[in-house]
Amino acid sequence: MAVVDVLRPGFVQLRVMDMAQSLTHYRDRIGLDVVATGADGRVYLKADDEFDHHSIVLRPADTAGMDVCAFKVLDDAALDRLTDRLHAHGVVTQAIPAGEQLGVGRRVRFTAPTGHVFDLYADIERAPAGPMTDNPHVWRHEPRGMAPIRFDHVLLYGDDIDGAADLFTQCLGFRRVEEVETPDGTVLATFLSCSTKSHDIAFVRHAEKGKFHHCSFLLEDWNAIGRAADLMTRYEIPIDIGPTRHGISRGRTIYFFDPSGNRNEVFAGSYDHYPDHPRRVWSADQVGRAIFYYEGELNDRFMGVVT
Amino acid sequence: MGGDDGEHRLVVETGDGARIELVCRPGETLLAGLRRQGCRTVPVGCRSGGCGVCRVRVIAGAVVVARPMSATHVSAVARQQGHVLACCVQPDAGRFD
Repeated sequence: MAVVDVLRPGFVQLRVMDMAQSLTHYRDRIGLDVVATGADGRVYLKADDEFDHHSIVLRPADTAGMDVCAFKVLDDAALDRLTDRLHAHGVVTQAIPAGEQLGVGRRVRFTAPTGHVFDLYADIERAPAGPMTDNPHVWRHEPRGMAPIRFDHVLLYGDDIDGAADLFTQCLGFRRVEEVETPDGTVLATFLSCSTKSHDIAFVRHAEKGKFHHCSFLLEDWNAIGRAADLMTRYEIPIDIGPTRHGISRGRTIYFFDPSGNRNEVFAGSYDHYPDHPRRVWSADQVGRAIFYYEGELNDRFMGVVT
Repeated sequence: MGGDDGEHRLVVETGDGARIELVCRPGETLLAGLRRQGCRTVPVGCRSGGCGVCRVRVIAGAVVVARPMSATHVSAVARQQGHVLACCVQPDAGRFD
């Protein structure tokens, strides 16, 4: 929907099993900038065109997967409004104090019906070297690696995606932009937007709670996707599928894996969403084309490989 | 069993009782060796130790764990029982016989 209280996915914290290899991947290959390293070993990174302190947090762990995805909201009053709406919806929230992550103010945490942990926050420091604002050049320093513009969205797998979609639409102002449905109306996948993006978060129905499918980075265009594919091949980064295109969102894409097996996406060229647009629906028998438009069928990994 | 030029000859037993003989090259992971020789019994997932779909059990011989395996899929107990992720292990040059 048009932006009201929730602005965008602000950051995601991922578990990684080898920090040195993870930094080679996220910093040198994808091309994120390292902003800071915390005393607890977490490393904070951002994409070139992001103003805020960080958008990706890597936490050393003995498992892969996502700790938390956080949405930035308009201001502190919006944070209170959204918290009230969560409580009215019967959602339990937890206060995460300012400073738990470097540069981030107080956060309001809740667990979605799919088992995923989400935070809302209003305050975060600006990055020391964000995009220029006075007579701004297209970039301060030329981009590295795959030249990511921003952290774009996450796609998550869990059981009660109906409950999660209800929570995000009824409490947080998201809209159902595009969905996959069975003939009996069961939603298999839901793509939700809080902005004019085609999706700011997506959920796919899956037996197990709390699984992570991918986090996505916006690139400039199809040429940038092609160059990213060259880099993945040159540096032997495991590719899941692509370059190809999604039917849902129409985005050009490559799915690939970080050194801990967390799936990443580079993404470009999806449509814009406005609040007056009708919901787009794919029937379950066309799900292959919905996900991988050119191939027309899912690969073995799409449904089963998650962290 | 050991082979010439650092290659390792392996026998893979699948759940349905079939036996597949294959050769792993030096530095090659078990999963890469399986795929190179056309064996599709073990699924290929993230190839990075995180997703767990290529979990196998070492029945005889030994392997070197070349990269971290997610504790979600290979706990310490499971590791002691021989469970590993095929994308993370290589046949152990010193311990295969």
